[in-house]
Amino acid sequence: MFILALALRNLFRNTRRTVITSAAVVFGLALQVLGWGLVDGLDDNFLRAAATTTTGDILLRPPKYPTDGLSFPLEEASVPPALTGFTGDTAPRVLFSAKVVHHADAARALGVAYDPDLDYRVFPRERWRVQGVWPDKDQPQVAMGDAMARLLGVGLGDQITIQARTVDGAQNALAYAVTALVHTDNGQMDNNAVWIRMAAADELLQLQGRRTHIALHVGGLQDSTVVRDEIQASGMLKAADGQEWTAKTTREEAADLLAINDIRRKAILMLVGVIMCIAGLGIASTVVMAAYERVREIGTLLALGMKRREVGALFLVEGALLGIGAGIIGASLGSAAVLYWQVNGIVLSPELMKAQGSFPASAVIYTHFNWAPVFGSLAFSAFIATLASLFPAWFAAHLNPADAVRAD
Amino acid sequence: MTTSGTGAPLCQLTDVKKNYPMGDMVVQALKGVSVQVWPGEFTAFAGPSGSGKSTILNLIGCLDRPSEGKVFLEGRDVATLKDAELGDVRARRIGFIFQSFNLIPVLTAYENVELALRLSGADLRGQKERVEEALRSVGLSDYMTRRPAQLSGGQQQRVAIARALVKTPALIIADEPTANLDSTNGAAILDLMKAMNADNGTTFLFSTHDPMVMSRARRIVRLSDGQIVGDETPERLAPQEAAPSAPVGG
Ligand SMILES: Nc1ncnc2c1ncn2[C@@H]1O[C@H](COP(=O)(O)OP(=O)(O)OP(=O)(O)O)[C@@H](O)[C@H]1O
Ligand SMILES: [Mg+2]
Repeated sequence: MFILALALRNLFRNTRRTVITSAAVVFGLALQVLGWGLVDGLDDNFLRAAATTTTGDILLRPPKYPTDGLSFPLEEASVPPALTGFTGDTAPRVLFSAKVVHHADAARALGVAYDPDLDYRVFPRERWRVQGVWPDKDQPQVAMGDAMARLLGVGLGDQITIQARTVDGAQNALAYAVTALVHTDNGQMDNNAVWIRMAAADELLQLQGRRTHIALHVGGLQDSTVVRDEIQASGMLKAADGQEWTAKTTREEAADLLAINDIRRKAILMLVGVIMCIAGLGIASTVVMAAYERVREIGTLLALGMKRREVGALFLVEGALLGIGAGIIGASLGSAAVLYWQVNGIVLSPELMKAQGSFPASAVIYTHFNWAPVFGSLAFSAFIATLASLFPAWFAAHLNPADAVRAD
Repeated sequence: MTTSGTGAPLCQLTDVKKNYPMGDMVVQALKGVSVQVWPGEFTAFAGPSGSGKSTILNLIGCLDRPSEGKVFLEGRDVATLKDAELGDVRARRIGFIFQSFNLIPVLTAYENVELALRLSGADLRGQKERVEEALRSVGLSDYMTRRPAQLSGGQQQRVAIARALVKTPALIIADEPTANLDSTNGAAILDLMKAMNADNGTTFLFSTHDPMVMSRARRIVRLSDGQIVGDETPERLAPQEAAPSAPVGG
C-alpha cells in the first residue's frame, strides 16, 4: 500500500515532466474514444438513412436487379410477390432515373414511386415533411427533396416537368405541381429525389403492375435477419411469374458503407497506436530519468530493507499510474465530447453535404457512446505505460545498495 | 585489540578481504581485516580517504558481501545470506545514518521514520507512538510534517537518527555522519548519538576523519590502505567503559 502512496507522490515530484508525458496519452485516448464514437455514430447514421428512406428493415428486389444502390434500371422491374403470410408492413416502390425541369433549369433526379396507403407504415414520412402536404390525392403532384428544390429554385406549388423512360424504353414527360418539400435522414435523397404516387408513376412509366423494390417493416422487437431467413425459407418471395425476389436486411444493404467505417476504425486504431507508442517512449524516458535521478534514494530504500521486487514494483506502479491517470483524463475528455455530440449532433455544413452529393447520410451526425473503446483504450494505455516502465523497474531493482546509497 | 570479558560479540570479521574489479585491475579495498564489535560500543573507524572505512561499514551493515573471509552478525555468517535475507537483516537489525542524510524527499519527517519502522516488520499497533517518540527524542516534535527540503542539514540528520533508532536495531552504522554539517551541528549530532548510546545501549559504529568526532568515540579503529593499523581506547576513558559489553554502571 505504501508503494502506491510513494509512487503517487513521486509522480507529482516533477509535475511539468509528468504533465508533458501525460499529454500524449491524454491526446491518444481522447482521439481514440472520440474517433470511435464518431465512426459508431456514422454507422448509426448510415443505417438510419437507409432504413428510414429506402430499405426499411428488409429490402426486396427482383432477382436480376442490381444491389449496388447506384443504378435503377427500370427494365428489371418485375411483378412483386404477394408476401401472403407476412405479418409486418410492406411498402412496394419503383425507383427510376429521371430528369426534372423547372423553367430553364434541369437536374438529374431519382424518382421514388410510392403507394400512399402503405408507404407511411414503413417510412416516417411525416417527420420528413418540412413544407406542404404529401401528394397523396389523385392529382399530378409530387414531393421534392428540399436541397434539390433549392438548387432548381422550386417553391411550393411550382410546376415542374419530369422526363423519364417507360418500362419499354420510350421517352415520356409529364407536368406536376410540387406540393411538399421534404428533408429526410438521407442527404442523397434530399439532393435529388422526387416522390410520386404509384398511380401517377404508372402513367409516366407504363409500369403495368411491375415494381422494383418492396421495403418491409418487421415490427416489434423481431430481429430482421431472422425474419429475412424465415421469409426466404417460406417461399414467400416467389412472384406470380415464378421469379424469386431477393431479400436483404438494412445492415446488409449498408454493408459497403459500414465496411468503409471499419477501414476508418482501423485507421484510427493505427493512428492511436502510433501516438501511444510515442507516449510509451515518453513514459519510458520519464521513468528511466526518474530511476537514474533517484539512485541514492533507491539505495536508501534497499538499505532500509525494502525488497528488490518492491523497489521494482514502485517504478512499475509509477508508470502504470501515469498511464492510467492520463488515460482516465484522455478517455473522459473523449467521452465528454462523444456524449455532447450524441445529444446535440454534429451538423455537417450544407456545402459539405452538396459536395458529398451521393452520400446517403443525414446532415446531422450523432456520435455514439460506447464503453468498449473507453475500457479498451484505458487498458491499452495502462499496458503501454507498464511496459515502458519495465526497464527502469529492472534497473532500480538490481542496483547494489552499497554503491547506490552513496550515489550523487 | 579490544577484547571483551563476557558475552558474544555483536559482530565479528575474520580475515575479511574485499576486492573491487576496476577494468583489468582489481582494487583491494580490504586486505584481510579481523575485528570484533561488542554490544554497546561507540566506535569510530578512522583513516585517510580510500583506507576502506566505508567498505568495512558496508560489510558490517550487510549492504555488501566480502570477497573473502567471514562476517558474523549476531552469530550468523552474512556472507552466506541471500539478497533478500540480507535485506531482512538490514530492515530489522541495522539502522543507517548517511553522510548526505538520504531522507526520502517526497515523505515528511514523520513518514520517513514511519517507513523504516514499517519495513522492519514491526507490529502495526503502537507505530504512531514509536515514530513520535523517536522524533521527540531527537528534538523534532515540532517538525514532523515537514519534508526534508524544509529542514536544515542538522535537522535532516536528526530525522535520519530517529529513522535509524525507531526500530530499536542491534546496531547503527553511520558513515561520516557529520561530513556534510558545520562543526556546531556536527558536534550536536555526535552528542545526540552518544546520548542514545548511553541511554539505550544502542551500538554505534561510525567512520570519520574529523578529530572532533574521534574525540567523542570510546574506541577508535584505525585503518590504512585496507588494513587495521590501530585499535585504541582513549586513555581518558575508564577501562570498563571502553569495553561496555558489561553494561555501564551495571
Ligand atoms: N564500488 C567500488 N568500486 C571500485 N572501487 C571501490 C568501490 N568502493 C570503494 N572502492 C575503492 O576501495 C577503496 C576503499 O574505499 P572506501 O570507500 O572504503 O574508502 P574510505 O576510507 O571510505 O574513503 P573516504 O574517506 O574517501 O570515504 C578505495 O580505493 C576506493 O577507490
Ligand atoms: Mg567513505
